[in-house]
Amino acid sequence: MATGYNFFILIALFILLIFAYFFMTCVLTIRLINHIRNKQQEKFISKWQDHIFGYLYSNLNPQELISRIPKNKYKYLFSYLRTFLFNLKGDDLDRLKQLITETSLREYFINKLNKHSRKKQVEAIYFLRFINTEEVVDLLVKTLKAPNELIFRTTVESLAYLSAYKNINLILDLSKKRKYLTKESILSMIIKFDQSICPILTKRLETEKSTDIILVIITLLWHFKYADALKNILNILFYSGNKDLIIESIRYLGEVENLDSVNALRFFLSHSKPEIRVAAIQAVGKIGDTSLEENIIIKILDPELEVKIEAAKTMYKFSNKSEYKLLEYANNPSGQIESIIAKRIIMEKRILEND
Amino acid sequence: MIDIIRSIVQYFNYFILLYFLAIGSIYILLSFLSFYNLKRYLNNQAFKDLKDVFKLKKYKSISLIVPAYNEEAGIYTSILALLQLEYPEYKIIVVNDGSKDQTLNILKEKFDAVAVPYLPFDHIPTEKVNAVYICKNHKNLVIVDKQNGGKADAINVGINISDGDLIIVVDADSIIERDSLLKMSYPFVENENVIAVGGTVRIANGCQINKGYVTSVDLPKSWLAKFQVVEYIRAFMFGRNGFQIMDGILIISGAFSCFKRSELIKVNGFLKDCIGEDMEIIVRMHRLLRKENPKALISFIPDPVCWTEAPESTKILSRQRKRWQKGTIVSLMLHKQLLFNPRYRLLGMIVFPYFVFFEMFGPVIEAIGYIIFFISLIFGMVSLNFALVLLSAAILYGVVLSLLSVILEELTFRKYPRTLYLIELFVIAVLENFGYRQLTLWYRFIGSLEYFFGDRKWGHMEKKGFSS
Amino acid sequence: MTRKNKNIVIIEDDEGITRLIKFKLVKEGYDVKSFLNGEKVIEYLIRDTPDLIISDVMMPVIDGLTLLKEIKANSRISDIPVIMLSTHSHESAILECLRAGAADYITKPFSTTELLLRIQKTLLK
Repeated sequence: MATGYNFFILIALFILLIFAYFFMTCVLTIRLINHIRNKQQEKFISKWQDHIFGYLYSNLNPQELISRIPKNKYKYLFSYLRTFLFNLKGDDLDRLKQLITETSLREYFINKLNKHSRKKQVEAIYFLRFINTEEVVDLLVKTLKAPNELIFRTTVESLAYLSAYKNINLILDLSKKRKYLTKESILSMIIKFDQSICPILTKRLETEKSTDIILVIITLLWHFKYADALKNILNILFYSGNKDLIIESIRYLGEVENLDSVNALRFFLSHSKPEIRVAAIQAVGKIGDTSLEENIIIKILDPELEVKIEAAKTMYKFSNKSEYKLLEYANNPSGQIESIIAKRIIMEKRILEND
Repeated sequence: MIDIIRSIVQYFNYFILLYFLAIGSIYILLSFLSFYNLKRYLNNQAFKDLKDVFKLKKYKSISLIVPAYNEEAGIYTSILALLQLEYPEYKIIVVNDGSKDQTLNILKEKFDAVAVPYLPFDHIPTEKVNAVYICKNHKNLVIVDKQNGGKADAINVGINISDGDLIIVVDADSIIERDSLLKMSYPFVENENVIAVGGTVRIANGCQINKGYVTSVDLPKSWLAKFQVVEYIRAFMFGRNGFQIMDGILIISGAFSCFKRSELIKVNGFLKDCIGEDMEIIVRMHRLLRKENPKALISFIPDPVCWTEAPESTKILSRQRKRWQKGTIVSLMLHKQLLFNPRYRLLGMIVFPYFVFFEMFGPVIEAIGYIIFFISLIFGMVSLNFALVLLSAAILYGVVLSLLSVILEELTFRKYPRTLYLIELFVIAVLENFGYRQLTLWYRFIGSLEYFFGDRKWGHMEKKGFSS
Repeated sequence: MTRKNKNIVIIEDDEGITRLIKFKLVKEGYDVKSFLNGEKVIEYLIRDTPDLIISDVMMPVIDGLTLLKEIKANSRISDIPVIMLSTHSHESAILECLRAGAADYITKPFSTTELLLRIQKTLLK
């Protein structure tokens, strides 16, 4: 029996030593590999930087530069290019993009799309966004069908970069089917498109059934300040009982100055839900339509604190009358809540605006 | 009679052996999950441009709440550093919780504060607010002075006053990485069901700190702090990352945590006068908000976003650990409905029970185990060999885990630049299992005893304040 | 023209960007010196007054805005024009820098040609 235990202890100690040794080697190897990688990256930069910069400001053929860089150094090249692709624009960026579009790198990335490694696929999708051709857009549209979240997201962002707005309906349809995507995640991808998606989105509002997608669309239309969707949005505003939809629509109205939107806002200023009243006051403040001045002034007497404060904020610099009214409240020594709010808002605005 | 005791002791010793085997196996399992989670996270991050947020009109507004109680030593530097974080727009709300020192005066003076009328928001009931100040030169800084009411109460005042979509609670002595707001807000941007996010905390002792930033990562000189370095790496690398996969983040470090404001108000803010209010709020959010929305998610990002000062004396360490243990017990006891509750899926069926058995009762079982074990050894009830087997099994597991966490660190974030540090971390990872672990276990055991038999009060941590 | 002698200081935490700007400016005949963040910059500026400063806004230790304020508060160097260069494209951030005395504000992504033209324009003033 005793020898059995002794044996076990020896085994345990032995395993411990093996593990410790093994782990130690692991860590040091990882460290070494990373060290070499960093050195290689530095070496790559010091060797090729001037060539790349020189290329940017000359008429050198991009393929000439790319063909001189050995293939096993590509990963350093890509990570180096990313900084500049992100930070440059105009001629500099166009010239940089030529390094990908007009060289063998183009085929290189297209081939990588079919690799099994997800990491490589994502890298390829990321860099393909700099090649604006129909072929690439078609390829990316095909990868949209992939079930993986990361691939889907990166693809949508690449399509956004390429401004492939025609595919927006497909993206929304696919997003609806993917359970892991939520309202915010769909929005955060599609917001990277530009305003060219707005006409399609507006049209979609007429048939879309999903509240989440409608919300996403209204937020996008607000983001791009797309005035032509006003009719559809007013429609939603008056026929939907959903609070989130109403608030989002009101926010949109704050970006579009129009008689219809002013009338709608007047109506929602006295909605029964305080959040909606707050949104309406903010929207009125944005469009600054003085015909609503009385409606705003009265809101400082609203029973809800949030609404009162929002009204006071809007009254400041909204119109002569509203500002005078606000000052009147502020100078009232009664200590009532409206006077405290007015004092606070005026002080805060004056202190923070004064330079 | 003796025979009966002898066999009970014998069985208890076997039970302890089993306990160690179980906890070790759980950790090994967790390490696989963590590895998977880390890999997934890093792959996700690789082609993301966090700075895109600066180009968009739509982003989550953030209010940083800094509760401050007797922080005169470091408050100015801390706030200066917080004013320089990378994010489009955010507000800092410093809540002076009735400090007895010069905290408020330093803030008022250094930041040119002007008192403004206080808007009496009362989403969450709190102690009285004395005054609110805004600052001419720092438009996003608000200073609040209130009656003393404890950390939870101070945070609640901050929540009432704030207006951001997200609330970040930061300890006044935490050092925050500059891009941490970008990283912490990302999970909320990607998924509206996320209600809270925690990040990885590291030990700042020994690091070079300049104007509230960690400029060079070094290891501390004190052995007690060194052990905590490895302990923190292990806890965050394994615990949080592993539980993340099971949607079971039960702890978010109070040193730096991020919440959706609307949800915080829904659960009525932090619990006043509660030991370990930072853990309690998370458990409560799980319990209340997942009932309402089964998709509600508490998330964790493995990035080291925050550096904190670790105690370098056993006196303060013991106080801290006792407090943590009591906090764990309080949080678990208050929300025991979660235990084996299938509605909360993996959280209710696996994570919560794990916390109850291994975190809450663990120290008691282990400590009693050690005691009985030595007694039985002295009285010859177990053989020396059995004793050695038990000890070596426990220590073996510990060493393997500590070493694994150092490897994971090296695979992912590589915060320790010098190879010499790496070797030192390794040595610490092994040595940690001979003494330090037993020491913290003992503190937690005492903490448990104190909880069950009376003394439930807070231990205050002494602050040194970072040099500027 | 004495353009050959113009000195420009770049303060930017991204080394790649710094090198690119340096490359472009040196090609155009400027003398360029670079810093990774706002630390120690003031001492240098006092010692070796340059003709223009290009500074990032978000940098570790001392950020661009703080640095800008420090420069404008120091009468010995407050005349040096500062061009801010930042990813931060929100109006409030731009206004804050311009109010604090920045000569110009360029948002990233930027074009080096545009940067050069703005430098020339600023130097002419």
